[in-house]
Amino acid sequence: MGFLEDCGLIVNLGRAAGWGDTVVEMTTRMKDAQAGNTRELRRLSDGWATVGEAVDRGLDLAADALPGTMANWEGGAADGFTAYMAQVRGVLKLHGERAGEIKLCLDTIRCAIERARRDVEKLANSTADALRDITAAADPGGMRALVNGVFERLDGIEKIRGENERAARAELERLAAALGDADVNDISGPPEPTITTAPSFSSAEFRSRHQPPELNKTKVSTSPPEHGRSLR
Amino acid sequence: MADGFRADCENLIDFSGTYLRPLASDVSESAQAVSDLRTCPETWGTGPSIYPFLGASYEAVRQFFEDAQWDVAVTLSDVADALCAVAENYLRLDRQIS
Repeated sequence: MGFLEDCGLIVNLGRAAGWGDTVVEMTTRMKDAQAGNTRELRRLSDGWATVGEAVDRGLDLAADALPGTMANWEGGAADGFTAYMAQVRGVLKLHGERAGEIKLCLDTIRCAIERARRDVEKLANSTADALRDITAAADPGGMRALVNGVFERLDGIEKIRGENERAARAELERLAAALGDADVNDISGPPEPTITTAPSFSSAEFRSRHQPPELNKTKVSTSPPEHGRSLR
Repeated sequence: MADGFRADCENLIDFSGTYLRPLASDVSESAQAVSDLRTCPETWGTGPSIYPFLGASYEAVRQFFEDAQWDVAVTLSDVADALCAVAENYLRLDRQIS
């Protein structure tokens, strides 16, 4: 017999024995104790697993290519760009780790629900069987003992699920704080002199070792040439 | 010397187009994927326990994460554009003096 059928039987037998309100409360708690969408939690967990991996390859390719690209470039802005790329790599790697930790939290919550569901279903099944016997024997004392026993077991099931979910919640709150930390979040671009926020900068700040002397002391725009009014 | 300079500039343009822009796009897709990982109350359960708080804590983390990824994606894209522009402007200057 399935969980809902068990609950229906418990309510019907309980009402017939004069314990209507109690058995309704009992089955309501059974349903609440196993609430939650484990299929959705698994989908979320799988989603966070791929979030971490999604940028890894591109990140590694860029990191490998960077030293060769910048080998002949020097100056404060060039160094700032190289430092920025290292910072972005660090931040995105950290994001990958955080995504993995969020996945673990979701797995903990899903497992807590699955365990509660198994325990509640067993409890509902055994309660329905016991109620059938007690009703057949017309045993009010047995009914009282059964009800007390069921509520005690429900307390235990709720406690275990609650402990697991409180731990997962504390971990989620720690992760929210970590993601708010400056070292994870503050990636507004390369430091000054920058190739992003400055409309232009001196060629001395981002110069090639092969730079023709005529280009010394020029200003270089960070906008595409068609908008490059700062060229001279 | 001039050939070396042009090659250096071409390297910047290549790095911007081959690595930075695709990386910005990857991070942007990742941010969108995180946006799709929203939940509803039924995901966590609607009983009298801590379930609603659990959903709120998860959503706070998810939103932080999504915002952080969008920030990286936008900045990377801006940096890719600026790097390419710098190299193109250098090449243009070089052509003017040649």
